[in-house]
Amino acid sequence: MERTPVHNTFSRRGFLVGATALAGTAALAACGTSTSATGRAPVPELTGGAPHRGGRLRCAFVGGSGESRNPLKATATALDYVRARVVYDPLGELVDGKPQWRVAESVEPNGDATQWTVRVREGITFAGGAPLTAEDVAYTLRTYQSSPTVLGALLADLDPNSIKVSDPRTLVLGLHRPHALFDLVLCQSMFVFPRDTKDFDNALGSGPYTVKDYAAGRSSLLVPNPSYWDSGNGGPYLDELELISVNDQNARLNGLKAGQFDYASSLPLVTARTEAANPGLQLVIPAKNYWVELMFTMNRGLDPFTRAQVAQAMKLAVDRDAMVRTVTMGFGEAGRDSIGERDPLADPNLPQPRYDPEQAKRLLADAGMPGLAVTLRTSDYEYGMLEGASAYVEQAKAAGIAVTLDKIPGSDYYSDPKVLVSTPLQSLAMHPQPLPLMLLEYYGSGALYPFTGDADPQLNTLLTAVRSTVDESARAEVVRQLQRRVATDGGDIVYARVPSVSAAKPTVHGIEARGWSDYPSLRNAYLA
Amino acid sequence: MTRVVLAKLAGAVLTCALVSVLVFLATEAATGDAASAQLGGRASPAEIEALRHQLGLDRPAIVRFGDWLWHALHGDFGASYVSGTPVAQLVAERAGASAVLGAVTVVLLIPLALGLGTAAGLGAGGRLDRLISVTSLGLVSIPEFVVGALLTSVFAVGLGVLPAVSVFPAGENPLSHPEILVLPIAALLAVSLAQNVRLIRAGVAEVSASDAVESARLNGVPEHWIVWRMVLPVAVVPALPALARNISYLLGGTLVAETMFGYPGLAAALVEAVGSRDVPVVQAVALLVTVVTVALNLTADLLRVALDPTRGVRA
Repeated sequence: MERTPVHNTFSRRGFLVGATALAGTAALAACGTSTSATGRAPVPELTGGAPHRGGRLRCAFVGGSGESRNPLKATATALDYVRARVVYDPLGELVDGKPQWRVAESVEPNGDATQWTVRVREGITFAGGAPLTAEDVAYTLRTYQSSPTVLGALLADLDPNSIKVSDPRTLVLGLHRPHALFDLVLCQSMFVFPRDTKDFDNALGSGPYTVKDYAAGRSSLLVPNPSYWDSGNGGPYLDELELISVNDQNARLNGLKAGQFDYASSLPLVTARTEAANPGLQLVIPAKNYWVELMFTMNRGLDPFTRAQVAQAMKLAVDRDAMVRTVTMGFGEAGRDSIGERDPLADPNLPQPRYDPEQAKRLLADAGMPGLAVTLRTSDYEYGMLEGASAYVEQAKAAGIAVTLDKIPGSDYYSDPKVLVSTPLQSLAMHPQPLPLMLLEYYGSGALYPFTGDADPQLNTLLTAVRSTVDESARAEVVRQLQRRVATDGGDIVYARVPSVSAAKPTVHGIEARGWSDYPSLRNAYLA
Repeated sequence: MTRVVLAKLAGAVLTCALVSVLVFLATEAATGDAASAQLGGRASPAEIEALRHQLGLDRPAIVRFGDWLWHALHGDFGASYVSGTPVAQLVAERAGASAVLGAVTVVLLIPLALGLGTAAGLGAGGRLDRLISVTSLGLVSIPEFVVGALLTSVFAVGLGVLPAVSVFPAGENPLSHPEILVLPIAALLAVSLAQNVRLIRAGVAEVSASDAVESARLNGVPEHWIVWRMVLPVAVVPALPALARNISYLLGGTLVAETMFGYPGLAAALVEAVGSRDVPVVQAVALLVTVVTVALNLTADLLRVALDPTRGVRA
């Protein structure tokens, strides 16, 4: 049974920085399609041959009575987000780690990345027929920026008073401080609605579908937007798209198997084994850049992890291969203590940490702390967190480390920001996002959630460089330096990466991750 | 009788007031609030504070409760902290769905429980009694979710004759899709029917073995007269409060069935609201469940008084 979707839909660490890179089919092919343990090759995205038109596609997602059609609350549940993705157009999406602009045509920084110029695409209309202009984008961004929501938090660097519309297709965005990656920020779910919208539950969109019927916690029935501006390049292909709110993961699977749904998202991991030979289903396992990173995070600013030997010993005491076998049921891969490991900007040559409890023991003895005892804050908030923590208790014994679990109910786990940044050791599950954005969010003095503690001056210098270096290749080099530092000296123990599992009938095609494998884009979905 | 009713009603109002206070205190005692539940770990502490201010959560607890009470007394239950939907609308829709599930279950439960319980009790020790008793004993000891999982795997996934998930389209109601009600009701019935059959069987068996019934039979009183006039009134009346409790359990606690089958009822909404610290929704649901429970118990008490075979005899 799953807890309320408001809590477990999005990994908080994930949504903080929005959509990730590498959603395109070319990159997916290059990444491979995961494990051979399933017997049949699962598909990373449901892309098929020539799209067919017509039919009704029924998809089950996590929703709930707290669902909302308000685009400002699009991140409340998976179902809300999937609905918003087809009712609204975002400024841009991330494909292959690069912005693929939708409402925006181009987005360019000035010399020091304190000002960004957005060109708005011509010919976009809202469902009512009104043209979408720079004024609408300006209103949208101001509204997001001033709202206390997840999407508002993404725009913290945007100065709402220095958003200037210079002509109907151009606006200039002033920032509080330089941000060379602000184009990636603008690719994070900035769903555009018309200027002067007051009733957000009924805000108009410019997306491929419009809402025909809606009941929170039950279903949303969507029909094609007949005047969709981009129908020459894809969907809407379906006559009807029904999003059904089903919070229990076994119920979603049962409904799919009983023929009630055509697509069921976020299924139990074991489904990858139990349904592998089922000819009536195709398993959807996302490309590796979407896999959830399971980690223990040490706060290096708090004892005993201020000591390098202790931090090193903790890492040596993890049997990553065993984690892959048990926690990820053989479907995942071992982590290398770095977040965003499969990001296109990541260093592909990071060393693979080994399990060496003897060396860990020696390090602890050198530090004068043999028989170390630590408390690990953990929760069943998301699959893998508690499972990994329980396995670590046993693995660490070989290094003489006594790990005690402090189990927190899922709905309380992320509720106190102060606790999150002052806990010496805790479990986290991170849905990968663009690596440079994750580095800015979680490390250094300017971080929102510095789980691993305060940064030293050198790390801060590197982070400032990432933020202010406009030149792409120079910035990429700084990002790799930062990542290597975080992996070797940092407090993150990324022990495994685990895929999510969804499934569909063989007739379903065109469901694309475009940044979020669990909350995919149905813009180009079709039945064949 | 009037005095009894008035006293019971006063007690009912007091119970509702007490439950409101206790539920509010419980939500206060829980970690975090609606703002931290929505944004904790996903936005800065300043933004969480801004949301808290927007929702009015930065006011003292006593002010928030007083505000809620004042508006509730005027029929205004506020808006959900999560979606902004009016609570009355959200709760009414969910309560309607739960009521359908509960009402159909009760309509089936009462005649089935009476029929099976009486049949078993009248032939106590016989083959039919053994069959009914063993089956109901078995069902009582199997948790609902196991019954539900079995029903789903056989009738939905296996045979494909019934839906596995009890969802119905927006703009429609559950009665326009009766097939979605079959499995949740079967799961609910399996457990509650068994309990009630056992209760009624015991009463019937005891009464029908009594001296009065024995002598009536020996005197040639027709069996149907014995059953309807002698056994049932005496055996069933004491079972009424338990039956009422069972019904209030069905209305307030169909959580397992609602969760397993994804049925959009009140219990599922309550659990979601507790998780997201959506206090106005929690308060309204708790109050509604209390009112229904109190009303059912009141009805059962009054029925017992009205149906008591000794009533009037003593007077």
